[in-house]
Amino acid sequence: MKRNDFDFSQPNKQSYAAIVFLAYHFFRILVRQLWPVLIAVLVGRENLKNMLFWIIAGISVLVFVFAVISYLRYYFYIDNDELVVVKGIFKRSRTNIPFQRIQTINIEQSILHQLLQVAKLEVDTAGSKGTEFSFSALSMAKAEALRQVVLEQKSKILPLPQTSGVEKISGSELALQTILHLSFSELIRIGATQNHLRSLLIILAFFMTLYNQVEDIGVDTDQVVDQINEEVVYFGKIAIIILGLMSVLASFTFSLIRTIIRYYDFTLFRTNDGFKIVSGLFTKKQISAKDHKIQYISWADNPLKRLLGLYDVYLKQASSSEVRDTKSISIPGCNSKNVERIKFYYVSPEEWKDLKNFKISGKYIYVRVLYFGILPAIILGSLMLFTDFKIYSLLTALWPLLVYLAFRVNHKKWNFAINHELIYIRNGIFGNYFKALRLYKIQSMALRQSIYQRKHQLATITIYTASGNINIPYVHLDLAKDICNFVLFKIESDKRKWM
Amino acid sequence: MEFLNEQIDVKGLPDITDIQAEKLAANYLKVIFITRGLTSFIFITGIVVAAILLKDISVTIRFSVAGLLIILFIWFFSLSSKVFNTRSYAIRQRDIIYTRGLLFKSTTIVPFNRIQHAEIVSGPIDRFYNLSSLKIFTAGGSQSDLSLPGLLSSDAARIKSFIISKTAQDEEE
Repeated sequence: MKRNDFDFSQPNKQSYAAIVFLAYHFFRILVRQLWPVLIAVLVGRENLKNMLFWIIAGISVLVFVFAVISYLRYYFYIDNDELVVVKGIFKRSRTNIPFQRIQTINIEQSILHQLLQVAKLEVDTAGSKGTEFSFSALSMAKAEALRQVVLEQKSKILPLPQTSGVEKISGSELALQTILHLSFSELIRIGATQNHLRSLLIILAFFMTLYNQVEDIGVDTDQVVDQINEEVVYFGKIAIIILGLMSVLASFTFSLIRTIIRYYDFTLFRTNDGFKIVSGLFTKKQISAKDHKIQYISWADNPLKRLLGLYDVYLKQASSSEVRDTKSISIPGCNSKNVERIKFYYVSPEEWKDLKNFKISGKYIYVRVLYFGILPAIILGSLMLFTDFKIYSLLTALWPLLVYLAFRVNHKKWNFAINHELIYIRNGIFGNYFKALRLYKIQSMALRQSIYQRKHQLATITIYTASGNINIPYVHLDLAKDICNFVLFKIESDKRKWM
Repeated sequence: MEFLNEQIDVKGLPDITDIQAEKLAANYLKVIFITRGLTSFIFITGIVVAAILLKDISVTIRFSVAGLLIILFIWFFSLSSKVFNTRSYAIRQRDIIYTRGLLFKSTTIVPFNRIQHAEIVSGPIDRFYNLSSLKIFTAGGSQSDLSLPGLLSSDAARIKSFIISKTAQDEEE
């Protein structure tokens, strides 16, 4: 098991730099637990400076001692095709991770890591929770070596799944081919076309939590709100317009900054059995998505992006048994050529042939309008009758009309196609969403029918994948059954492993 | 790998509706009656108590809302036997089919070669009638996991071992 200069069969420690990260880790835990107490103790004290000094000194010593002990008591080694990690200050824990279970190993470097010349190593396993973990700091060489050893050993035990006849190449990723590199100006274009509504919601959520926390400490928020109210009344409409403009500007800036931080220097490579992404401004992230782990791919635009001919592509990966974070890798700012390339890397052009197209029933529109248009309008309209805005309740009658128009567009876009290899779906209201899913990646199928659907011989097909569900609504029952039978036949006869 | 692309006659494939559906164990109807009866009873008692105690709200609103809710729960209870009749399952050579739902009818099909593991669960009322539920887990997330209730405990064990033998066989291939 000896490789390079590292002997992983003996217990190995992390780099000394790990103490810094552990200290930071403990510092965060401590502060998170103690800050309300600290504020309570400190507020209204006379010898504030003195106290503050002792508290900071105490915390620093405590954090440092914890970090050193935890560093000394943390080690790992490789034993019989298993990665063993032993750690814990008071409660010792020992985690064994069989190599077969390890899905990917990601190496990450923040600015601090780069300064200290170390890297964070994340081990990602499929399945049971609690077996995913990371080493906070290993020397770069050691991290690479460990990754190499694990991947090599893993490929020896478990021959790579035969996905579309790719040649098996031991462990290391050779032949990197750049598909996409984002320049700074492209980054700005992407940032400008993000979903700003979502940014606005994130900002609002942030202020809400801030507001709550401030209130928790005991600041009289009512007074502040009253004051703002007064000023708004005083300045009247101008204030509202200014506030509106400010929030538009804020969401725009927020989207832009977020995009730059996340996708700075974004590069997408094609390896011989998957994709690899390197990106990030402060934290350089390196993520890999192996073909056999990708469950389906999707790509989308929105009205702003369409003006610039840009798409976001998502590689949907199998998540751990916990569905909470479905692992999806997003690739922003692809033009249609990039999309095409990714599409054809994942599913060969040959396999895209002979797609048979289908549409969904027009009844879909009426039911959506009933649920999202008429019902909310009736409820809102009748509630308004009890308030001072009686006249406005008439306006709610417009809502169903808007919903109708939106879903008419949606129905027109709704399209799905199927052949021997995949299902291809297109839908969307303002934007366009596309999904391409290989049939053998499907986990199970369901047909659903409401009373209305039963009356009209319609059904909704639900496709369950290891990366979330996909619905095809309002398909004619006979067609739905045929598709179900066909997909099941494919799942049950295809010998390829879904992961 | 060899690339095959033979024509397939879709109409000739095994049909998910062309099956002899198995009803759940007769005693399971009693289990539904008991569980639905108990839930309805608890909620109706709660509603009645609330209707008497909440004096702040005017009498007409209080009692009409309570009345409506009580009718809802009685309706919920009276549907028991219909609910029982809608549930059925079938085991084919390569998958398991479970149909359920009164207002929203759904048919879920889980192929054996996608099953992660299976589990037999039996609650106190189930145990009294010697019944079990068979839970089948796939990688498709909690929504796609199948729970087959109201099986005779011996049947549940048999089906489970059958499924496990099928999935094991599949892994060997």
